[in-house]
Amino acid sequence: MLPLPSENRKVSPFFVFYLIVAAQFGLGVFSFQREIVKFVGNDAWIAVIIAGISIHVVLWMVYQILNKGANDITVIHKDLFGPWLGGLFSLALIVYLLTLAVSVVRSYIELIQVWIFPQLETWYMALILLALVYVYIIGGFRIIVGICFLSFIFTTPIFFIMLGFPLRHMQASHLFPIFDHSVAELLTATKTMSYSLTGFETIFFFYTFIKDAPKSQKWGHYGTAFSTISYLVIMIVSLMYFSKNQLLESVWPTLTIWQIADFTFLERFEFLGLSFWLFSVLNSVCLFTWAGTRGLKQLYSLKQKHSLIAILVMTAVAAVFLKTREQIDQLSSVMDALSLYVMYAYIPFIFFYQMIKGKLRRTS
Amino acid sequence: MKKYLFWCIFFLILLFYNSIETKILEDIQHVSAIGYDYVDKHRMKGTAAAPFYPAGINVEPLDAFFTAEGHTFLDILQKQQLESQRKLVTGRLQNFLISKELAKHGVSELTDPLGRSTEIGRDVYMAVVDGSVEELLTFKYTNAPTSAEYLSDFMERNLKDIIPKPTVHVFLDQYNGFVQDPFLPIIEKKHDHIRYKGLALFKNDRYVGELSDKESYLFKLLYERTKTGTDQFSMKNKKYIALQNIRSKVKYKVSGSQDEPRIDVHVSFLGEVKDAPSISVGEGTLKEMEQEWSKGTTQRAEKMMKKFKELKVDPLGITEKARSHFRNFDKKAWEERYPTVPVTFHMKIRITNTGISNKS
Amino acid sequence: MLKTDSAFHNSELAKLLEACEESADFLSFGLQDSPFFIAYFKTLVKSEIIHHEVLACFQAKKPSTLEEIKAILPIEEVSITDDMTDIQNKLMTGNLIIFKKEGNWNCLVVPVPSVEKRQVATPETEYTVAGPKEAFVESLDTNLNLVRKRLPIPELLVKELMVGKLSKTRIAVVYVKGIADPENVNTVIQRINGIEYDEIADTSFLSQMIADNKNSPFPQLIDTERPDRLAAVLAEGKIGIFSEGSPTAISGPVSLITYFAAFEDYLSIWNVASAFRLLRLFAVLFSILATSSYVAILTYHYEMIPRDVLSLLITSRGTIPFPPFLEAILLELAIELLREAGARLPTKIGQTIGIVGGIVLGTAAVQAGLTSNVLLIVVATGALASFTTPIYQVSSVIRLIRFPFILFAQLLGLVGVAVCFALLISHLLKLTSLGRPFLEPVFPLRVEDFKDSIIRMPFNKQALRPLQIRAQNRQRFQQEALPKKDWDIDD
Repeated sequence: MLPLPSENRKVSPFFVFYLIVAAQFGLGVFSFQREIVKFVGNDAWIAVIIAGISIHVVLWMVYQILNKGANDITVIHKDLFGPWLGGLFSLALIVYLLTLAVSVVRSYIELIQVWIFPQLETWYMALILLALVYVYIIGGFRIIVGICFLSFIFTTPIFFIMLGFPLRHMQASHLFPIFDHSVAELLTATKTMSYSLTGFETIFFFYTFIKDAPKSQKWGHYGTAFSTISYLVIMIVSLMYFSKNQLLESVWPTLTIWQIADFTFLERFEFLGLSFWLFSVLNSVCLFTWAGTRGLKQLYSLKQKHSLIAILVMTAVAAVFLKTREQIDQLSSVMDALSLYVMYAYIPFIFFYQMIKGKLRRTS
Repeated sequence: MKKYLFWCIFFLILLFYNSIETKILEDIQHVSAIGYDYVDKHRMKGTAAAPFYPAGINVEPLDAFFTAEGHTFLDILQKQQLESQRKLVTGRLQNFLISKELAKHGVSELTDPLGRSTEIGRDVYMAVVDGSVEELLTFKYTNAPTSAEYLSDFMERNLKDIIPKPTVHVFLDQYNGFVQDPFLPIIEKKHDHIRYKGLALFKNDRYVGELSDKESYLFKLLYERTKTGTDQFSMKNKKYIALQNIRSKVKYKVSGSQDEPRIDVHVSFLGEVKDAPSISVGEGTLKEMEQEWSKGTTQRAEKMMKKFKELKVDPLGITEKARSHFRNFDKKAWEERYPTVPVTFHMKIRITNTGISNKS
Repeated sequence: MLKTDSAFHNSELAKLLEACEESADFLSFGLQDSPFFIAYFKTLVKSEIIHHEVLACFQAKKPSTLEEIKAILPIEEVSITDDMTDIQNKLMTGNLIIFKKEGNWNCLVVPVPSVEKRQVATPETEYTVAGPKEAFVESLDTNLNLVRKRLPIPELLVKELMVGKLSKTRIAVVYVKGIADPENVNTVIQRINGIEYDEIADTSFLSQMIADNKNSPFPQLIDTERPDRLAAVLAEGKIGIFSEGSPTAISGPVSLITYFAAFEDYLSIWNVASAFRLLRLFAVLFSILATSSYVAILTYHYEMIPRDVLSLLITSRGTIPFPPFLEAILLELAIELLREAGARLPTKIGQTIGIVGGIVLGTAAVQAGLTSNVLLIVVATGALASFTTPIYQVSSVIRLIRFPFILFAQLLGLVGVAVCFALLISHLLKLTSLGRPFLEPVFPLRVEDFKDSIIRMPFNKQALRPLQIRAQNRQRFQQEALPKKDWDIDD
């Protein structure tokens, strides 16, 4: 295995907060409402909370695994399952993260095509986006942390300020009666919500880049809590602002809310907001792609600067091949299911397997 | 060197393969109001007001109208396009008008593109026109440079004080939401002005009835909290008094079971006497005024409610209040029960002051 | 061994003299009644000193050895040497040499330089209404004097270096020992020693040659002409660099925020100063984004323009034959032309050009319908805003980076502006100054350093030196004790 990164490549533990937020809080905030409201209507916000709590538990497990292994996931896999099976697991995780990156890139391009430039070619925008990603990743992990942090500063204030505009038109009665749906319905909705909160698995790869990594756990939890609260707030606002049928019809309710913003010097904020969401997209794509290249380096000693180019080209090609809305939706529903397995099956599995193996070793 | 070559080629590609169509501000014609008249069962006549700004400095916009008949919003726009000098765009649409005749036949086909388009904003104002939309739009009004501007100002800066804001978002939300019926203001062309006439009541997407302009202020009081408007009422001795609204609140209370629901509407009104000719305003008279107002308004509100029940429309959103109160809300059953649900009005008023003069 | 005259002709000293004699201003002659010869460049020395002191002492005392002359000459720093490179250097810097053509060819080197220098004047590019009015001049010694005057402590160290094969420029690296990070000092000295260039004319040469990223338009070392400003940054633990012949000093490590910090900020009360610093920050943001947003919105996003502004914009654009992109580029270029012409011309003519260009051309262009007056306002305000940064070099950078923004705005509208902004941010994130992050304290986030960055906190809150500089001793002064919590009104 490769040596751990040197001290001057590492970042302070509190940056884990921004990294986690970057991975979780992205394009999801525009469109996650519909899928959840479909199942539980006005109780959708409860599903958000449940999903948030479950993610906290999973994150706790992730930290336990990493703290015990004291290295990144590829090494842990190798220790637990041997080089072959372990390598396969690592590769699967890498492919998962890279597919997430493809899905984010394609969804953003679709958003721009629908809302701003219908004539925009997918490959054209993909080229620009991935060139930007290249420029960032080539600078190393610290630069990626930088963009995660700065994009947090740019996008979250916009996000929360924009919630002020629908206030006048909101109806609290839309939220009642609380708990009008069965537990089964709530759990189904929770499942779809979890997909929006995926992406924190990148911590498996950047763990070794954190100074005093075990201490960063609290920041990881703060990050998850922040994303959960953001999703919760926008969910409550959309529930109160839209009637249920209207919410079910809107593909991107958050953008529809942004449409009504009117400053005296500028109206129709969604154009500006959508453009600035580029940063939110950049940071998650950078993070996923970086994690992928880092994993490949750990597994096969591939130079990151070479694998990066290959991965970016593949991402662009994949993005161009996804042509219609159905295909994009299909990809996200596949990722939806996959993320469930990753979060609620694979991570607990590794956690318990490592625990049992550790106990066996101690007794023998 | 290879690196620079790569980036050079990259930027050349960006420059030459850019396929986005520009929409340069002055090279397009902005439709600022659009209205539809009824022709026959399948066709309607659309009139678009798209003021044209001739070249020059300090020029006044010219009124420009394009009329065409067709089946759908886009179909009509296409035909209007055939006449206009520049590309018609709807991104800055301000007003969306529907004739009463058309509204009676249903407007769902017309409003669909409003909800679907990313170009048209959500804060476009909607109204029903009594009479011909074309006539109202194309008339040359003396008090504004263009009819579209008059209409925009009228809807945006004036009407909002009299009735709840009639924007596309509200309309679509009410029409789509399964718990409330939409309403829109009715305007008409009277002599050489646009005039607010009342409130059109919709059942689903069809016009079914209307409230008069006087009733519609009461409707606003019952519908939302407000800080604007004046309400006039008469005392026993046929003396008229005008009250300025400082702020009013409304609260709905649902009680009972789903089979036997009861609705209580609490309105609290904080007012200021603006106009009380030949009435001495003192301690006693203030009390009297307050009582008279509550009594009179309750009667008016009850009358209005009766009308709603007769028409089986629910513009006040009582169904929504009931839905949020009862678990496992049964909408079908409620709709049948709606005309019989008892609704009680409780009007509370406090008159804070009588202006800067106190005649006694 | 006795050395003869012919032996002298073969010596290195003779070769040196021969080489110098090719120049018309070189003088070399033997003294009457004395075995000594004198050689010097007459353009580099003060002839009064030679006549009144040096030659006079020969006439009076008739010395026979160099040591004797050294003893009787009333001039300090006289040395005897036979190191030819040293002699050559000394000759070139205003020394005269005295030697015998026999014996061991040692030379007596007498410094009699005639230094042409400007008087210390008021700062021009960093002028402030309040505060000191001294500015650096072209003489290194005067400049060091100006700084030493402000930091009269032995810990203020000056390291002298010499760079430039031809120019032999004296470079002084100045820092306060015990405060400045030795690593930073080493970095600077190493980089300066590593410079391979023949002629160094100014500190800005240095600042480009020792920059971390030589392709970046952003200056990574900041130059100043104010001794008070330099003394202040030295006290913070930064490092100053002077060069002979340059009226500006450069200092580092710096961060992006330094671009917005005027020395005047320290002269006015902290809340006022902070407000103006924020104003500068917004001015620069506006300057970068205004024109490109105009192009983006007018070309692609007409929906964003409010109703009242719409008619205004349409009528103002009505007669213009160009698309917004060309219009903006033309106007920006016109402003750049004006600035460039103004900068190249003497002050008085420059002002006239400014007035003629600004008012006459602007009005004529609007009246002829070549530009819209709205864009004229936007561009002019943007240009004005770019000049609010206290550092001259930065304002040209700001005006330069507007052009890619405008280009991207034309390509992709507001998305393009965001893309270009992302590129800018990636560049800034990667940038370092003497190995220290450039975006600090924003990234890496150091909340402590915000006390003197976007805002300037009062002096009593500035007890610790900024983290970015890695000062050896972070404590500036003992912080006063916090007031008691259990106070009450009228107690």
